[in-house]
Amino acid sequence: MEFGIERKRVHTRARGDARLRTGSVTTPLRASGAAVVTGLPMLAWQTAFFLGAVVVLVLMSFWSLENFRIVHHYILGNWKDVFSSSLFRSVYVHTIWYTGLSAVVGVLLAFPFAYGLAFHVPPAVRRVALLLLIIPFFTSYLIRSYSWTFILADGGLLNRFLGLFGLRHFAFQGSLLSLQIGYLTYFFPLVTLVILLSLMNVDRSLIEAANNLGAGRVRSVLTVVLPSARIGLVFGFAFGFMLALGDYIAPTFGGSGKRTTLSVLVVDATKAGGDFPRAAAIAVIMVITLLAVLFAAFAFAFPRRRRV
Amino acid sequence: MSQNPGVYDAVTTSCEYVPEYVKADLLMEMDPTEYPAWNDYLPEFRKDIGYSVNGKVYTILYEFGYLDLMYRQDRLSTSDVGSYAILWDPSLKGKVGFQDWWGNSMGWVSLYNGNTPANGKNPFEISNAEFAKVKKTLFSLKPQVAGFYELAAIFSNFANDTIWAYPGGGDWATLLLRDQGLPVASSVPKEGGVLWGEAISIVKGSKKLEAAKQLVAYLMSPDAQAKLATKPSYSAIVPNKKAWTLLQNNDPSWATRLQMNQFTDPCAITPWRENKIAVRLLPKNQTIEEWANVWAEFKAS
Repeated sequence: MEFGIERKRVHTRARGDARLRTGSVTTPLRASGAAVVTGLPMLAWQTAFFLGAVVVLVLMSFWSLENFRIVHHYILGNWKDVFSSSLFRSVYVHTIWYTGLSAVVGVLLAFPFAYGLAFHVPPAVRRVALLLLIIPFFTSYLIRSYSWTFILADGGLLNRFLGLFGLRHFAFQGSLLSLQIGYLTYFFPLVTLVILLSLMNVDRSLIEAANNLGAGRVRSVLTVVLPSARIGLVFGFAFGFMLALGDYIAPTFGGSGKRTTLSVLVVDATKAGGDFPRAAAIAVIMVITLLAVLFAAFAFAFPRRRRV
Repeated sequence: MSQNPGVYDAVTTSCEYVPEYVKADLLMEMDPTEYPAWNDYLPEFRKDIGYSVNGKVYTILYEFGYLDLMYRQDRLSTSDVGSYAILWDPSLKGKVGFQDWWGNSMGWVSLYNGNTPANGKNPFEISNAEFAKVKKTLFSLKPQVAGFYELAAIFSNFANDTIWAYPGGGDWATLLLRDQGLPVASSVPKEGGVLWGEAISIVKGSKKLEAAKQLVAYLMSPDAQAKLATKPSYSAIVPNKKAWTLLQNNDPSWATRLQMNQFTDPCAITPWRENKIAVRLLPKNQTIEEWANVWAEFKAS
């Protein structure tokens, strides 16, 4: 795909530049050769650790379990069980709701934060902010999630604080709010980072032009910044959705185990007697869902231009 | 064991899974009398308590405890916890915590429905009609649920006041939290409790059979069992009488806390003697998946 984009770019430039058309045609071809060489390790890695793993996952979803031993008989039992289960259907819908909501909330919260960093702080402050956004990835997500349970518990810090104002104790733990906090703890820095990098590449002269033409701050954000940062926003959503969909920790701690998601079903299947084939069937459905959302996001981020 | 044949020589098991391991031909038959410490076992545990398969022994118990009703003493009184019925009390709405495993969290429901040793039944060996009733009873408890947790999270949620009652808890967990100064206790309600047992088995085809047998002998010994009873992760009752004596002599306060300070009633095995305790087994008339599915549905309901 990268090669295709490269060729298209060369072709477009070549059409408007006689020098390129006559003298520099071989340069991109050499670059493509280098790209093949440098890209090979990545290709090998992805083939072995992603494609290979997915193939095994798909095969496993057709195997069966007998006396805790995986038997390599190809059957449709796991798939029939999954598709005929009302529990699975209910959990699937809930999972899309929980994870989709978290991705939308993540983008909505991250955008103003990233916007401020991109346009309204000095570069030195932005560099520190970038560092601070990266630091959470060096700390344990499990520990950070677990610490939220002490804040949101019935006798936790938040309820004790609210108690100072005479407010009764709220059951935060296990609530939708608590689950969303769990997800955001996981991916908010990453979503912010993706949007920030996107906003930093927005052409400032366009914003200045909008301002010169009389657009106020809000209008210039809506008509210039947001469309320019479209790719970052869409990929921020996609990253958030992707990470939340596979996450087991937020539903376990944030949701107090009461908000079952597909990842919880996968773990439950393996805990209840090591039923990896059934877990694999659920995992394959998760992968398909994820790919569908990623392709949709990709199509939305890079819409086809209408031919005139 | 099944995926890595030849790697393990001995394995500590949760006893209820032993029939499954035997079905998969993974365990070697054992003769308890081969080990001198067997003669020191309490008479109640020197016989099959439900783990033998077709009359043959494949595992030897070295520690156990009861799954009963654990509660916060500042929220519930001793009389409150005389029956599991307290869990449906409006005062416990959103305050009942569960371990996220059907094996430890559904047995008591079956006991509550009358599938008790006193009635000649094991709570896991029930008919499909009784199983349907267990499901109905369990689902009626949903408004009371605080959450479904791993063990460590249960402890912390007891500590931070999120949960006040935990069916499936027991002294093995209570003593840990009491050490931290928390006002918690556990009690075997009138409907009874479930015995969890940990045991040692020898893997079939072991290449280090003598070493495996030495490990079995050690885990059955008074010295090892006294240590197991008071281990920091979770305390336990042990079946070797001499381990009780060792504790009484060397660590009398722990012997008292574990109620292993005397052999006569009341002591740690009094509920067992009173036929209030059922052994945790795998379901007999349903599959593991059926019980696990009900549990998953309950969590997601």
